[in-house]
Amino acid sequence: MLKRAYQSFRKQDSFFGVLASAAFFLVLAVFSPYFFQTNNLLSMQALIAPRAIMAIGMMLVVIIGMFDLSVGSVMGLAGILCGYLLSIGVAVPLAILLSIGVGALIGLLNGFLVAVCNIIPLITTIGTMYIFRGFCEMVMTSNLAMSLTGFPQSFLDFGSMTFLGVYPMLWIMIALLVVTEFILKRTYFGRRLYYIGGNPASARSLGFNVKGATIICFVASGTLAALAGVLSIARFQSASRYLGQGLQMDILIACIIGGGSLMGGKGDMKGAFFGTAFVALLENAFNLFEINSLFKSVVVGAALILVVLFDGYVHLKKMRELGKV
Amino acid sequence: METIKKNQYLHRKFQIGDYTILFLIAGLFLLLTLTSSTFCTHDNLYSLLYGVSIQFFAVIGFTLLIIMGEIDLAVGSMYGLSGTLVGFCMTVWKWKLLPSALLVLIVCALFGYLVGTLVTKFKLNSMMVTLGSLSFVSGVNAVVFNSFTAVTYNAEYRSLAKFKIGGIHWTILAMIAIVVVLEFLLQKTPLMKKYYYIGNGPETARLYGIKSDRYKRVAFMLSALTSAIGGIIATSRITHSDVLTGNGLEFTLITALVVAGASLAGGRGGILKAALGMLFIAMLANGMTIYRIDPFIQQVMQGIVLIVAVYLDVRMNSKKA
Repeated sequence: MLKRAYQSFRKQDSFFGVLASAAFFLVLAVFSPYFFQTNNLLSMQALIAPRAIMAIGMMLVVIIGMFDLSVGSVMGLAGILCGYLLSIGVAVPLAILLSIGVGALIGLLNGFLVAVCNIIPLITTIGTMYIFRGFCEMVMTSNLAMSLTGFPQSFLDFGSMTFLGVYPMLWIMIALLVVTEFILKRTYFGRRLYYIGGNPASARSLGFNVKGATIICFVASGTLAALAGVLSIARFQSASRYLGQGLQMDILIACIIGGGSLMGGKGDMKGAFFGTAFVALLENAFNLFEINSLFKSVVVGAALILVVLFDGYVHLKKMRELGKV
Repeated sequence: METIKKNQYLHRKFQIGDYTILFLIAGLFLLLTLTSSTFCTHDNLYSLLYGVSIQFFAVIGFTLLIIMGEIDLAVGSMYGLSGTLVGFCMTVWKWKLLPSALLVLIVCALFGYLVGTLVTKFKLNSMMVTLGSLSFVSGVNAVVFNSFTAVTYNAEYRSLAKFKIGGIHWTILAMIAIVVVLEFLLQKTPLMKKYYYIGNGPETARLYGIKSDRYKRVAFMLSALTSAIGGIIATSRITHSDVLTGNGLEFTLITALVVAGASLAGGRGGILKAALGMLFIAMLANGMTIYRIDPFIQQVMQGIVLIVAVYLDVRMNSKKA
């Protein structure tokens, strides 16, 4: 019974991510006396929730064998735009909707460029990453401030209230995780994404709408990144110039640690969550053990190389077994 | 069938259509000369060329990789790291310029070779591996940079970029020499022509007995090495190192190469075209600065140029096939 449960767990894509983040969690819980303090747990929530929401969108794109490097800029732009709209007195729901709408439009642009214009995702999303980071700076320079503050009280309350000890953003994250996992595993659309990622050419010849699915995944990624941006400025009560800068690497690494493969066709939402948890715990560890945060990008880069190496090794072994190399 | 067509492309004589970039440069040059009084002055053009000649070092190895259909996104961070490391050796260990530069170049080349080995041995996507090494190298740069007090480097280091031969900065002369020699090697010698064969059809190249893995490893090493050389000279020019040196350089290089007719799918491009592409991008930036366009809008413009260039590349290739 236990063995069978283990074996079905072992077969899942997210096995490695769950194991790694659980191990890391234990290490932190044992070695740091501050880990279980309320403040640390609350800041962990604010660290994990926006990233996991972005990771959901990224995971959808990774499953179809692509990736989206513009999420950091989209998150920043949506947050800064929302902050700007609120600071000039636009009603809260309208400001939120507009910012998320902009995120969806950027996702649409990415999807259009990739699926219709056939530009590879790397170039498309690096291009849009730079373009919209430039837009963020333009909104900020018109204000001559490092960060935007002074939002309406109802917006701030939404960010900092807790329900059962948990911020609303975490509830939103849980709801989104459950919904997307259901779509991926239980609907035709979701299952098709795996076929498309596994073998785009044969998916196309089977009559799947590959272009449509690609666009939908990129739109989802853009929308969710924008949502993450809005939620994080509600929590931090300010929209900083650097919001979301470089975050795309963390998110991509989280997805790959969580069982996604750059070759496509692998990954699920459990993996998106646990991969994010791993990266967030890493960041938390830097704070708890007071390690210089400059080392973070070294560790993240090394982790990405290791994960890509592991992924490639497993893929190569499989291909050798099939006799294809 | 497709490979044969592409190989015919290789054996063609010089055709003006391959050099659309010349028209672009000429057009932009005319436009800027006519509309601005400050552009076509000796000082401005010379400093433009000088700037290009320093960044040009970073594009040498990068071009070889692009010809083979691989990519090295870590060029920009390597460009930043090398300058900081040389500064570290010279201020903290009190070394002379030559030994510290040599040590740094060896370290960077070894790192590039390691990346190349990972990519070829495990058949990894070079884009992803170098995305990781980008983060890794820029992190190391930040750590090293913060480990010693940031000061203006000593005169020995500063004089490196200022050295002149016959009244012209040596980097400009070096750029011209490298373009002439490398372009000749790439077009005429069997050794370097193999880069194009590998880019056009890796499988065919393998069947003909070309050791493409070895070529790729060497190109990854060269890419790290040449961008390190560029970074050392750039740091010498700006007299101190900065965590932001080389930030986004990979993006400029990709844009320059693609504007000048290289393809990310491999098999096309060349060192002369790379230099012309760099010149075009530098002129564009120079023009925007003359018109006092906000640097952030310049960033947006560069992103748009990149996407449009790649789009046109995809369009033209699909027509040929």
